[in-house]
Amino acid sequence: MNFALLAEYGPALGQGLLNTIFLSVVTLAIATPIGAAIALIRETRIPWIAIPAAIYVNIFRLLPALLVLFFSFYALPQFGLRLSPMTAAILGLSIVGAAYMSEDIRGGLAAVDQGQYRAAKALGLSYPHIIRRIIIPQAIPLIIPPYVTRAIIMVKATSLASLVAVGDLTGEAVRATSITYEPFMFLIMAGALYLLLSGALALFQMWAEERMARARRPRTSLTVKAAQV
Amino acid sequence: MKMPAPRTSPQAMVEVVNLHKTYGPLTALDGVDLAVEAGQVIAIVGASGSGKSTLLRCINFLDPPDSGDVWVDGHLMGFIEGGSGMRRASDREIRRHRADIGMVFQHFNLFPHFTVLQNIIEAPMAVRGFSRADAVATARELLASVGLAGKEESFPTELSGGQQQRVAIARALAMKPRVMLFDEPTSALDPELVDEVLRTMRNLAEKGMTMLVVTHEMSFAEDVADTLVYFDKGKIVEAGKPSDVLRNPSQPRTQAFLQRLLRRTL
Repeated sequence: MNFALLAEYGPALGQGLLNTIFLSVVTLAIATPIGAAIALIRETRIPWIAIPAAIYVNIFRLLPALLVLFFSFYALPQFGLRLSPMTAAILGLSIVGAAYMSEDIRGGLAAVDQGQYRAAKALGLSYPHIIRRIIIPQAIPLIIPPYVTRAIIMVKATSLASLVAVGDLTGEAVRATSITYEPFMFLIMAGALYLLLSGALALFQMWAEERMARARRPRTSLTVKAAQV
Repeated sequence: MKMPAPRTSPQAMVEVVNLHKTYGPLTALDGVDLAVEAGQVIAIVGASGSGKSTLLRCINFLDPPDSGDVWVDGHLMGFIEGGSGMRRASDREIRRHRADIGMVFQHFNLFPHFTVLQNIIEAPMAVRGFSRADAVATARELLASVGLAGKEESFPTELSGGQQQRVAIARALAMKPRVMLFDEPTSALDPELVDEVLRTMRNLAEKGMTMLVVTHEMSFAEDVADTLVYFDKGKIVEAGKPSDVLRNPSQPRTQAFLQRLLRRTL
């Protein structure tokens, strides 16, 4: 390890890490509500809104994310829409991410027993009320695992932004490499930092699943604790 | 605009006139006529797939019928009296009328993330606009009446199937329905749990509730029901006093069905 080089390029890598975190947080913050909205829209099975949502999902789910990124950075200026590299990356990654996420969320919603809809409907509850109070609370434990897996994939996919001139972690590591010819050190550094980021998400997933498992058996866990005391 | 067909029993609590329902190529209801007087208990029997459950779901418009009329407590389901005829009811109007019809399902369908109490008070508060205090008071009374006092804070998974079904009955009753629909309420239960649910239903019948019960429990049908109707291929092929239909079925199809059922029980 050449610590002098590491010290020299450390601030750049740090800035890259911050950009990657920013890109990840903003992309997830945009893609999650859009993905959830698309999933709910498709679940209504009302054709004039559900069909366009399905078309959106299937276009962006089936295109390479890099192509969408290139499009938002290189092609939109042809229509007079010139975006900064960061904005273009956020746009492209959010559009694609929302499409993927809507599928994960829809899967969870659809997995809730249909009898729950029937029973709630028979009581005279409205569709929005049924979704909000009956379906979503039961779907969330089913959605969390695929959702967090998707979030991890999206965090890693932010590295594509380096190809549209964003100075993210990958971009800075590659730049340092190309100047210093020390690929090993800088790529290992970048890899370790990515592991830290996505590892945090994986830990969150474990914590959330553990918590939900406990919430689902409220009495049993209490009785077990009481028995242990 | 819709002109409903003339009714033969205008004072009936529930009257179904020439009801039809198909699912794609499958005919589930093929012209069903049925009248249930207030306070009467109707047992609906027949092979699976004969349309019994579809009839219940058409009565409360969970599954709107293709054609025919459903009258509940003097109201034509799915329609609203307009100036010069009947107009189609909005979703909100259908929901309001559906709330007057309680329904109990084979698989209970309690909300697993709610306590027993929350299961019962959710709809009275959201649909009927009851205050929380009123809804809770009603829920406690109903739980006591189905023999589950003290189970308010339990979750459905902590209860036996029979207890869950009794909570489901209490949940339906909390809406103060005019009619109760039971869709094979004991079919998913272990045999030793069937009686507690049937007892609850019998109490309800004795209190004068109008009930339509899809069931395979012939002794319950005979003891509690005023009328037994036998369904086959989307039609009522036989109806009458339960003891008469069970002892001397006039239709060969009813005879065959009852014989199969008898063989199974022996």
